Amino acid sequence: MSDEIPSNTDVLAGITKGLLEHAEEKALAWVERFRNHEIVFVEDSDTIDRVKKQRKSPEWKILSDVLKDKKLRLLAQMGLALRELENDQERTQSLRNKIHHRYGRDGLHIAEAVQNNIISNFIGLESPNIGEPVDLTIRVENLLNNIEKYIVFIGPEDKEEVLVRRVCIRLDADVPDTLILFGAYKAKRVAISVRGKIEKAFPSYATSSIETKIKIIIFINRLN
Amino acid sequence: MEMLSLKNEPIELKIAILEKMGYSSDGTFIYDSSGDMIIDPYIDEAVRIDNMVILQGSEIILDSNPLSFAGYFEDHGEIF
Repeated sequence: MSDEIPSNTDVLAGITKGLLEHAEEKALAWVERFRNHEIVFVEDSDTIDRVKKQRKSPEWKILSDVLKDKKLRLLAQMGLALRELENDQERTQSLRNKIHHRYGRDGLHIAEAVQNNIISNFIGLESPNIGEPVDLTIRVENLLNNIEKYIVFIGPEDKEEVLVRRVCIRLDADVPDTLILFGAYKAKRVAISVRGKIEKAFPSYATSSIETKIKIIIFINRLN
Repeated sequence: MEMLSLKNEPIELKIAILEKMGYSSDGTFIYDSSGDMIIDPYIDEAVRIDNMVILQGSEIILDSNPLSFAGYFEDHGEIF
């Protein structure tokens, strides 16, 4: 009788063979559909849907009209993605790592500038003063390509005196049309203090700001 | 064009799909017919089988993340 009952090993082998045959058949049918352009294979449709949704947002429409450089367009989209993922620490960190790995610290800062609405606000402030769309593109792309020069991201541990010195040096040396300070949480207070000192030291510059409960963007603009 | 999720599919099926397309996998990474590891050009990292997407446009295998999708859409348009 024992000869007629298959062993556990035989049963397992049979199941495995069956599963593999089933996988083969399914794979064949799906690849056929793929080659007929009926399907694409994705892992997690949420991620792709999120990117597609972002590309339809009014903010992307504006950024997309202004930014022509491919790298900057990608990083701007990543800024929007980071903003949407703000409540998901694990996914945020994973995306930040990917941006940093591919585009370095400057690339991450460009994405962060979009994430924190700095670029959209900059475009909003600059648009009325610029005649041709191409000039706005040049201005915004120049800002992003020189992000370390024109945007100061204030960290929670940054010392006010050091920052004031840094900003003064930049204003004296480069005489930029615009310098932007950004601070969030604890750094927001520091940003406000730095602004006060800069206003006193540089009468040739005017400041304006946009703030929420936790963040502040300070624009330091050269007076004509 | 339909998006077919491989998320809950067994690895045997994913490997079978890749093999039918002329690729291979060691269970973690993916290799082309010459044995070269598939690298996602948008993130400059090897694509892992547990997070791969296969998109139209000469069979493009990418990692599933926002940066790669945004890059793909910039290059190919939103074709699905």
